[in-house]
Amino acid sequence: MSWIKTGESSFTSVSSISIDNCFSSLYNNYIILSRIVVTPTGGAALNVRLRSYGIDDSSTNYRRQQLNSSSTTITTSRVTGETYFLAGLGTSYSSYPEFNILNLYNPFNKIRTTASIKIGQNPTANIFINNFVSAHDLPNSYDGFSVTPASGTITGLITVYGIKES
Amino acid sequence: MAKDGLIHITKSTFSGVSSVNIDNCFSSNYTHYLVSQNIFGGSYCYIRLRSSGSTESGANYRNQYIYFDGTLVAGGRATGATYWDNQAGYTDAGGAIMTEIWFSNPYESVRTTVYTETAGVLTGNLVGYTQVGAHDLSNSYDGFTIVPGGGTLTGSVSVFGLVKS
Repeated sequence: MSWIKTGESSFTSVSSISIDNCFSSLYNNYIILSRIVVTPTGGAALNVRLRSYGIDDSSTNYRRQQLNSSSTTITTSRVTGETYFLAGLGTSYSSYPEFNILNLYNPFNKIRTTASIKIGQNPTANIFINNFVSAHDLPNSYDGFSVTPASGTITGLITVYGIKES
Repeated sequence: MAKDGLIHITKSTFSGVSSVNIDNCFSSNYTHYLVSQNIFGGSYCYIRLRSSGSTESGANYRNQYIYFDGTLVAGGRATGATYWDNQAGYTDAGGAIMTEIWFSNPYESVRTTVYTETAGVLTGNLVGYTQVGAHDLSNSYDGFTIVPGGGTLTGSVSVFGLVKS
């Protein structure tokens, strides 16, 4: 098994970043690594939307099940009808970037895209675990994605790897 | 021809040692690293960052974890710790263990983040452990060490870098 880099973007102070043509029929599954700082700081969530031919899918067809842990408290919850995959919390500072791992399954294939998202916070105060299992409700084909903070701008690096299965 | 994005940097194989130092595995070539380890030991282990052959043992490590064992699920948080957890030794003799460790930014002079997942077997029971860890200092580190809480370590550790530009 090999990981093949299929896309990358390094960006500074942008309100949204799109990476197109990184998904194709060559691979079924992808791993997306990101290191992102949100400005101003304060926890603006990072929202990921699937894209096709340069257009975001902003429909209410995203859902997730989440597992959160704060000290000894563990909670779970489910959200449906959202317009994005929640893929980061943006709890970052200029030298404390957030590290996020997004496993994306079948984005290009015409079956429902699913995702496993792990968030590696590096806060100045309390640290949390926030893990998500996400799914898109429509069996569409997508060739890219966008990352948009709920507010402010983002600076960072996103790299996309296709999982070569044979 | 497509270029492999997962680059093997080093592998360390060891038997009956009191600690494992993996030096010079982090560099400016990569931002993110994936460490795969297969370690058999008698106790929990710890991870500490290293720089130029010296271990960073300051109270600058913090983490949040979730532990799950059967119907038990438990969480916890540590600040001001001198290490991150490494559940490498979380297995009985003859048991199986797998720990995956992600390092983000260890070499760059920004704060290092780790994400770890462990699957272990204790007396036939499968248990899991997930950890998010952060380091409080914006220093550069070129390696890490694995130290058991007691006893010695036997096994192997492989480090991979994730290709960027």
